[in-house]
Amino acid sequence: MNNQNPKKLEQISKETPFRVPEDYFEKFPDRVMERFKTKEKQPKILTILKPAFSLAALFTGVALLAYLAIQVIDKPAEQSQFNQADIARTNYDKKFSNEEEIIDALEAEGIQVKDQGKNKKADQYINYLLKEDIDYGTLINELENKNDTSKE
Amino acid sequence: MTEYTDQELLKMFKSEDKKDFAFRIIINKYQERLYWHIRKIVIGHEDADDVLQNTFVKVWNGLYRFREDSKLYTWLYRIATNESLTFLKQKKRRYFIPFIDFENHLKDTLESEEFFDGDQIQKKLQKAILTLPEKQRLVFNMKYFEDMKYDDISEIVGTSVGALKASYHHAVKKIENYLKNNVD
Repeated sequence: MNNQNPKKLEQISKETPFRVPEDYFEKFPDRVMERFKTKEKQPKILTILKPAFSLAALFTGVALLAYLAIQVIDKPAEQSQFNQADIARTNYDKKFSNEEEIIDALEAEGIQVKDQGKNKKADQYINYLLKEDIDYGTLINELENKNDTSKE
Repeated sequence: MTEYTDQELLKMFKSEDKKDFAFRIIINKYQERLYWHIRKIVIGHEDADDVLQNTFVKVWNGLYRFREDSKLYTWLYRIATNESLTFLKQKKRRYFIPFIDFENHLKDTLESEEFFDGDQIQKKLQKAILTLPEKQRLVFNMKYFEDMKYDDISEIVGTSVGALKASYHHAVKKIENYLKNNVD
Protein backbone atom coordinates (compact mmCIF):
# COMPACT_ATOMS: atom_id res chain seq x y z
CA MET A 1 0.00 0.00 0.00
CA ASN A 2 2.76 2.44 0.98
CA ASN A 3 5.02 3.46 -1.86
CA GLN A 4 8.06 5.72 -1.49
CA ASN A 5 6.33 8.76 -2.99
CA PRO A 6 2.66 8.70 -2.02
CA LYS A 7 0.50 11.44 -3.51
CA LYS A 8 -2.62 10.77 -1.46
CA LEU A 9 -3.00 10.73 2.32
CA GLU A 10 -4.77 7.38 2.25
CA GLN A 11 -1.53 5.83 1.08
CA ILE A 12 0.17 6.72 4.35
CA SER A 13 -0.25 4.82 7.61
CA LYS A 14 -2.18 6.63 10.32
CA GLU A 15 -0.11 4.97 13.01
CA THR A 16 1.96 7.35 15.09
CA PRO A 17 5.58 7.39 13.95
CA PHE A 18 6.74 8.61 17.36
CA ARG A 19 7.65 6.45 20.30
CA VAL A 20 8.40 6.99 23.99
CA PRO A 21 11.17 5.69 26.26
CA GLU A 22 10.56 2.34 27.90
CA ASP A 23 8.05 2.33 30.80
CA TYR A 24 7.39 6.00 30.22
CA PHE A 25 3.63 5.77 30.77
CA GLU A 26 4.05 3.37 33.70
CA LYS A 27 6.29 5.82 35.53
CA PHE A 28 4.63 9.05 34.52
CA PRO A 29 1.79 9.10 37.14
CA ASP A 30 4.33 8.59 39.97
CA ARG A 31 6.50 11.41 38.63
CA VAL A 32 3.57 13.82 38.50
CA MET A 33 2.28 12.88 41.95
CA GLU A 34 5.82 13.18 43.33
CA ARG A 35 5.99 16.67 41.85
CA PHE A 36 2.84 17.66 43.77
CA LYS A 37 4.23 16.27 47.03
CA THR A 38 7.54 18.09 46.54
CA LYS A 39 5.69 21.29 45.74
CA GLU A 40 3.61 20.97 48.91
CA LYS A 41 6.72 20.31 51.01
CA GLN A 42 8.86 23.03 49.50
CA PRO A 43 7.50 26.47 50.17
CA LYS A 44 7.81 28.92 47.35
CA ILE A 45 11.04 30.93 47.12
CA LEU A 46 9.12 34.11 47.91
CA THR A 47 7.66 32.53 51.02
CA ILE A 48 11.18 31.57 52.12
CA LEU A 49 12.60 34.98 51.39
CA LYS A 50 9.67 36.95 52.83
CA PRO A 51 11.11 37.17 56.41
CA ALA A 52 14.51 38.07 54.97
CA PHE A 53 12.93 40.85 52.88
CA SER A 54 11.06 42.14 55.95
CA LEU A 55 14.24 42.14 58.02
CA ALA A 56 16.18 43.89 55.27
CA ALA A 57 13.46 46.54 55.00
CA LEU A 58 13.48 46.98 58.79
CA PHE A 59 17.27 47.41 58.92
CA THR A 60 17.18 49.84 56.03
CA GLY A 61 14.51 51.86 57.82
CA VAL A 62 16.46 51.92 61.08
CA ALA A 63 19.68 52.84 59.27
CA LEU A 64 17.90 55.65 57.44
CA LEU A 65 16.40 56.98 60.66
CA ALA A 66 19.78 56.82 62.40
CA TYR A 67 21.43 58.65 59.51
CA LEU A 68 18.80 61.39 59.57
CA ALA A 69 19.07 61.69 63.36
CA ILE A 70 22.87 62.06 63.11
CA GLN A 71 22.44 64.70 60.44
CA VAL A 72 20.06 66.70 62.64
CA ILE A 73 22.20 66.37 65.80
CA ASP A 74 25.48 67.16 64.06
CA LYS A 75 24.20 70.18 62.18
CA PRO A 76 24.44 72.84 64.99
CA ALA A 77 27.95 71.70 65.83
CA GLU A 78 29.01 71.98 62.22
CA GLN A 79 27.36 75.36 61.76
CA SER A 80 28.76 76.86 64.97
CA GLN A 81 30.96 79.87 64.00
CA PHE A 82 31.55 81.19 67.51
CA ASN A 83 34.69 80.62 69.45
CA GLN A 84 35.21 80.75 73.21
CA ALA A 85 35.99 84.50 73.09
CA ASP A 86 32.70 85.23 71.32
CA ILE A 87 30.76 83.26 73.89
CA ALA A 88 32.58 85.07 76.71
CA ARG A 89 31.86 88.44 75.10
CA THR A 90 28.22 87.57 74.69
CA ASN A 91 28.00 86.73 78.37
CA TYR A 92 29.84 89.91 79.25
CA ASP A 93 27.58 92.06 77.05
CA LYS A 94 24.50 90.70 78.73
CA LYS A 95 25.41 92.56 81.98
CA PHE A 96 25.18 96.00 80.34
CA SER A 97 22.27 97.77 78.82
CA ASN A 98 24.21 100.29 76.71
CA GLU A 99 27.63 101.16 75.39
CA GLU A 100 28.36 103.79 78.05
CA GLU A 101 28.01 101.26 80.81
CA ILE A 102 30.50 99.02 79.04
CA ILE A 103 32.99 101.86 78.60
CA ASP A 104 32.58 102.84 82.27
CA ALA A 105 33.10 99.28 83.33
CA LEU A 106 36.20 98.93 81.16
CA GLU A 107 37.61 102.22 82.45
CA ALA A 108 36.89 101.10 86.01
CA GLU A 109 39.03 98.08 85.33
CA GLY A 110 41.86 100.30 84.11
CA ILE A 111 41.29 99.75 80.41
CA GLN A 112 41.39 102.97 78.47
CA VAL A 113 38.84 103.15 75.69
CA LYS A 114 40.17 106.10 73.73
CA ASP A 115 37.64 106.45 70.94
CA GLN A 116 34.73 106.16 73.23
CA GLY A 117 36.34 108.69 75.57
CA LYS A 118 36.68 111.16 72.72
CA ASN A 119 33.09 110.64 71.76
CA LYS A 120 32.06 111.17 75.33
CA LYS A 121 33.91 114.49 75.39
CA ALA A 122 32.38 115.57 72.08
CA ASP A 123 28.94 114.74 73.48
CA GLN A 124 29.70 116.93 76.50
CA TYR A 125 30.73 119.88 74.26
CA ILE A 126 27.59 119.54 72.16
CA ASN A 127 25.43 119.43 75.29
CA TYR A 128 27.20 122.56 76.57
CA LEU A 129 26.61 124.51 73.32
CA LEU A 130 22.95 123.49 73.32
CA LYS A 131 22.60 124.48 76.95
CA GLU A 132 24.20 127.95 76.36
CA ASP A 133 22.20 128.40 73.15
CA ILE A 134 25.34 128.98 71.12
CA ASP A 135 25.01 128.41 67.39
CA TYR A 136 27.59 125.93 66.24
CA GLY A 137 28.05 127.67 62.85
CA THR A 138 28.58 131.13 64.46
CA LEU A 139 31.11 129.69 66.88
CA ILE A 140 33.07 128.10 64.04
CA ASN A 141 33.07 131.41 62.07
CA GLU A 142 34.24 133.38 65.12
CA LEU A 143 36.98 130.86 65.77
CA GLU A 144 38.09 131.03 62.13
CA ASN A 145 38.10 134.87 62.19
CA LYS A 146 40.10 134.80 65.41
CA ASN A 147 42.65 132.50 63.82
CA ASP A 148 42.92 134.76 60.75
CA THR A 149 43.46 137.86 62.92
CA SER A 150 46.16 136.23 64.98
CA LYS A 151 47.93 135.15 61.76
CA GLU A 152 47.91 138.69 60.47
CA MET B 1 -8.68 -2.31 38.22
CA THR B 2 -12.13 -0.77 38.67
CA GLU B 3 -13.29 1.42 35.80
CA TYR B 4 -14.53 4.76 37.07
CA THR B 5 -16.62 7.17 35.05
CA ASP B 6 -15.49 10.79 34.76
CA GLN B 7 -18.35 11.86 37.04
CA GLU B 8 -17.25 9.41 39.73
CA LEU B 9 -13.66 10.57 39.45
CA LEU B 10 -14.66 14.21 39.74
CA LYS B 11 -16.75 13.46 42.81
CA MET B 12 -13.84 11.61 44.41
CA PHE B 13 -11.42 14.39 43.54
CA LYS B 14 -13.59 16.87 45.38
CA SER B 15 -13.43 14.84 48.63
CA GLU B 16 -10.10 15.52 50.34
CA ASP B 17 -9.32 11.92 51.37
CA LYS B 18 -9.76 10.53 47.84
CA LYS B 19 -8.27 13.42 45.92
CA ASP B 20 -4.84 11.84 45.21
CA PHE B 21 -6.38 8.49 44.37
CA ALA B 22 -8.86 10.01 41.92
CA PHE B 23 -6.20 12.14 40.29
CA ARG B 24 -3.88 9.21 39.78
CA ILE B 25 -6.68 7.40 37.98
CA ILE B 26 -7.37 10.47 35.83
CA ILE B 27 -3.68 10.55 34.83
CA ASN B 28 -3.69 6.85 33.99
CA LYS B 29 -6.87 7.20 31.98
CA TYR B 30 -5.85 10.20 29.86
CA GLN B 31 -2.05 10.43 29.84
CA GLU B 32 -1.47 8.54 26.59
CA ARG B 33 -4.06 10.37 24.53
CA LEU B 34 -2.86 13.74 25.85
CA TYR B 35 0.78 12.81 25.35
CA TRP B 36 0.34 11.91 21.67
CA HIS B 37 -1.71 15.05 21.10
CA ILE B 38 1.04 17.19 22.66
CA ARG B 39 3.82 15.28 20.95
CA LYS B 40 2.39 16.00 17.49
CA ILE B 41 2.44 19.69 18.30
CA VAL B 42 5.85 20.04 19.96
CA ILE B 43 7.50 17.07 18.14
CA GLY B 44 10.31 16.31 20.63
CA HIS B 45 9.76 13.77 23.43
CA GLU B 46 11.48 15.83 26.15
CA ASP B 47 9.35 18.84 25.28
CA ALA B 48 6.18 16.72 25.19
CA ASP B 49 7.05 15.31 28.61
CA ASP B 50 7.46 18.83 30.07
CA VAL B 51 4.21 20.00 28.53
CA LEU B 52 2.31 16.91 29.71
CA GLN B 53 3.50 17.45 33.28
CA ASN B 54 2.53 21.12 33.14
CA THR B 55 -0.85 20.11 31.74
CA PHE B 56 -1.55 17.82 34.71
CA VAL B 57 -0.37 20.51 37.13
CA LYS B 58 -2.91 22.88 35.57
CA VAL B 59 -5.56 20.16 35.72
CA TRP B 60 -4.82 19.53 39.41
CA ASN B 61 -5.12 23.24 40.19
CA GLY B 62 -8.28 23.79 38.15
CA LEU B 63 -10.21 20.56 38.44
CA TYR B 64 -12.23 21.65 41.49
CA ARG B 65 -13.56 24.52 39.37
CA PHE B 66 -14.47 22.26 36.46
CA ARG B 67 -18.16 22.55 35.59
CA GLU B 68 -19.59 19.42 34.14
CA ASP B 69 -21.34 21.21 31.30
CA SER B 70 -18.52 20.00 29.02
CA LYS B 71 -16.81 16.62 28.73
CA LEU B 72 -13.78 16.07 30.95
CA TYR B 73 -11.72 14.84 28.03
CA THR B 74 -12.37 17.92 25.84
CA TRP B 75 -11.50 20.12 28.85
CA LEU B 76 -8.23 18.17 29.30
CA TYR B 77 -7.45 18.48 25.58
CA ARG B 78 -8.07 22.22 25.72
CA ILE B 79 -5.56 22.60 28.55
CA ALA B 80 -3.03 20.36 26.77
CA THR B 81 -3.46 22.34 23.53
CA ASN B 82 -3.03 25.68 25.28
CA GLU B 83 0.00 24.43 27.18
CA SER B 84 1.58 23.16 23.95
CA LEU B 85 1.00 26.42 22.08
CA THR B 86 2.28 28.45 25.05
CA PHE B 87 5.36 26.24 25.14
CA LEU B 88 6.05 26.85 21.44
CA LYS B 89 5.60 30.61 21.88
CA GLN B 90 8.02 30.63 24.79
CA LYS B 91 10.52 28.61 22.77
CA LYS B 92 10.29 31.05 19.86
CA ARG B 93 10.80 33.96 22.24
CA ARG B 94 13.61 32.29 24.17
CA TYR B 95 15.65 31.49 21.06
CA PHE B 96 14.52 34.55 19.03
CA ILE B 97 13.25 32.28 16.26
CA PRO B 98 11.13 34.03 13.63
CA PHE B 99 7.92 32.22 12.55
CA ILE B 100 9.32 31.12 9.19
CA ASP B 101 12.42 29.63 10.83
CA PHE B 102 10.41 27.98 13.56
CA GLU B 103 8.92 25.56 11.00
CA ASN B 104 12.51 24.60 10.09
CA HIS B 105 13.40 24.36 13.77
CA LEU B 106 10.59 21.80 14.28
CA LYS B 107 11.69 19.93 11.14
CA ASP B 108 15.23 19.76 12.56
CA THR B 109 13.80 18.45 15.84
CA LEU B 110 11.96 15.79 13.85
CA GLU B 111 15.15 14.81 12.00
CA SER B 112 17.22 14.56 15.15
CA GLU B 113 14.51 13.05 17.36
CA GLU B 114 15.72 9.92 19.06
CA PHE B 115 12.23 8.60 19.73
CA PHE B 116 10.97 8.45 16.15
CA ASP B 117 10.14 5.06 14.69
CA GLY B 118 8.36 6.05 11.50
CA ASP B 119 9.58 5.32 8.01
CA GLN B 120 10.59 7.94 5.44
CA ILE B 121 7.01 8.33 4.22
CA GLN B 122 5.74 9.04 7.71
CA LYS B 123 8.55 11.49 8.26
CA LYS B 124 7.61 13.20 5.02
CA LEU B 125 4.00 13.44 6.18
CA GLN B 126 5.12 14.99 9.48
CA LYS B 127 7.22 17.53 7.56
CA ALA B 128 4.23 18.34 5.37
CA ILE B 129 2.08 18.87 8.49
CA LEU B 130 4.72 21.26 9.86
CA THR B 131 4.21 23.53 6.84
CA LEU B 132 0.59 24.17 7.93
CA PRO B 133 -0.45 27.19 9.97
CA GLU B 134 -0.79 26.43 13.69
CA LYS B 135 -4.57 26.04 13.83
CA GLN B 136 -4.77 23.95 10.65
CA ARG B 137 -2.08 21.72 12.09
CA LEU B 138 -4.08 21.21 15.27
CA VAL B 139 -7.28 20.43 13.39
CA PHE B 140 -5.54 18.10 10.96
CA ASN B 141 -3.86 16.10 13.74
CA MET B 142 -7.05 15.74 15.77
CA LYS B 143 -9.17 14.76 12.78
CA TYR B 144 -6.76 12.67 10.76
CA PHE B 145 -4.83 10.80 13.44
CA GLU B 146 -7.30 10.74 16.32
CA ASP B 147 -10.50 10.72 14.30
CA MET B 148 -12.15 13.13 16.72
CA LYS B 149 -15.64 14.50 16.14
CA TYR B 150 -15.83 18.03 14.79
CA ASP B 151 -18.05 18.98 17.76
CA ASP B 152 -15.32 17.94 20.18
CA ILE B 153 -12.58 19.68 18.19
CA SER B 154 -14.79 22.77 18.14
CA GLU B 155 -15.00 22.69 21.96
CA ILE B 156 -11.23 22.28 22.24
CA VAL B 157 -10.05 24.98 19.83
CA GLY B 158 -13.06 27.29 20.15
CA THR B 159 -13.85 27.45 16.43
CA SER B 160 -17.16 26.71 14.69
CA VAL B 161 -17.66 23.28 13.11
CA GLY B 162 -18.06 24.85 9.64
CA ALA B 163 -14.75 26.69 9.94
CA LEU B 164 -13.08 23.49 11.18
CA LYS B 165 -14.33 21.50 8.19
CA ALA B 166 -13.00 24.15 5.81
CA SER B 167 -9.72 24.24 7.72
CA TYR B 168 -9.31 20.45 7.52
CA HIS B 169 -10.14 20.48 3.80
CA HIS B 170 -7.45 23.12 3.14
CA ALA B 171 -4.96 21.21 5.27
CA VAL B 172 -5.48 17.98 3.31
CA LYS B 173 -5.02 19.84 0.00
CA LYS B 174 -1.83 21.50 1.18
CA ILE B 175 -0.37 18.25 2.46
CA GLU B 176 -1.13 16.41 -0.77
CA ASN B 177 0.46 19.24 -2.75
CA TYR B 178 3.53 18.98 -0.55
CA LEU B 179 3.71 15.22 -1.15
CA LYS B 180 3.42 15.72 -4.91
CA ASN B 181 6.00 18.48 -5.05
CA ASN B 182 8.56 16.89 -2.73
CA VAL B 183 9.40 13.61 -4.41
CA ASP B 184 12.49 11.84 -3.02
